[in-house]
Amino acid sequence: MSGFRRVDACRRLGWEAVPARVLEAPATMYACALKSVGENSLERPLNLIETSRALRLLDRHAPGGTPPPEDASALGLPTHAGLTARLKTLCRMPEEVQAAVLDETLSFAMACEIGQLEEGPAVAFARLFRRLKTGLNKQREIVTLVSEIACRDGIDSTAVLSEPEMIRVQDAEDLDRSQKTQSIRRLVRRRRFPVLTAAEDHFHALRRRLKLGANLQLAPPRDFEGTRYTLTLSFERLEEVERLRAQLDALVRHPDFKALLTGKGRGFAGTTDP
Amino acid sequence: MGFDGDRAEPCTRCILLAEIDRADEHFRITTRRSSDDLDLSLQRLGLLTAPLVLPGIADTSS
Repeated sequence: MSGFRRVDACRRLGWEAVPARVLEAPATMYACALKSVGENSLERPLNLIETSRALRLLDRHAPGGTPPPEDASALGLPTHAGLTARLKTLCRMPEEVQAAVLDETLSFAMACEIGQLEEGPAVAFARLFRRLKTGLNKQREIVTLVSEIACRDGIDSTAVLSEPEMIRVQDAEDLDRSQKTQSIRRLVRRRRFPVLTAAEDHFHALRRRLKLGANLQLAPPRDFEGTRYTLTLSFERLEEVERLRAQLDALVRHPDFKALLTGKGRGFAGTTDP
Repeated sequence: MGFDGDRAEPCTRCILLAEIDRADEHFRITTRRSSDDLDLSLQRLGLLTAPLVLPGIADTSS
């Protein structure tokens, strides 16, 4: 009931018998569950999966199916209804998802999100995040984009994650985890918003041709949604302002600048050839 | 606690390791599987806290 690791170690050491505390009948199953949880939770902090198992165990054997909150509280377990409901789902998730929670490559919040997916995609995401060891926001971005791609294309998220280019990045030996994460985010974004990412690429190509230098920055409309561009001037001395003014004059006459300002409607396509 | 049965106290006695059903994980909470780290303390200090077990079918029928 409690002490699996101790029993295993004693066996391995060749012991034949050990002193054991025997919970005699007529202990109820709920009493056993309480003892079993307390043996662990009152000795050391439980990890998320253990907390999940403890809550489930109490639920399973509590008279009426719901343990008194005082019992959970006495055992050091959370009692907030919303939190415990989410915690209880953890130990029912696929092994790979639980393993990712245990090695802290998957946060509780993210585990709850991917835990709602089918087993295949949930495992695929858990496996990916265990390899990338990336943060919550990036994980959420990848899950959202991949799920949207899958929904739009009528395929499984697992299929998106198994596309050759995705596999190539994941297996690339010349990329570290951070580079892989960046490449995968770029890939799924391109896959999700092909027109937008193409427009961004064309815009960046055009902007490079303007050779603006370090003191003059040209930013596209936010998220390429609006029509207003932003020019930022950076200077310290008056002479620099003079140079920037000349640069601005040249910019206004530059055909690529005009193409850039008028090309948004067609995603800047057809304007980037040298 | 719901009722007195929930406060059942265990009694300690020596039992054969072979009698412990390790496959029954119904009450298992711990996720950690490896027990290698316990070898040294068991060898030097003995078993400080006895495992908690339920009587099996053989025990309860006698």
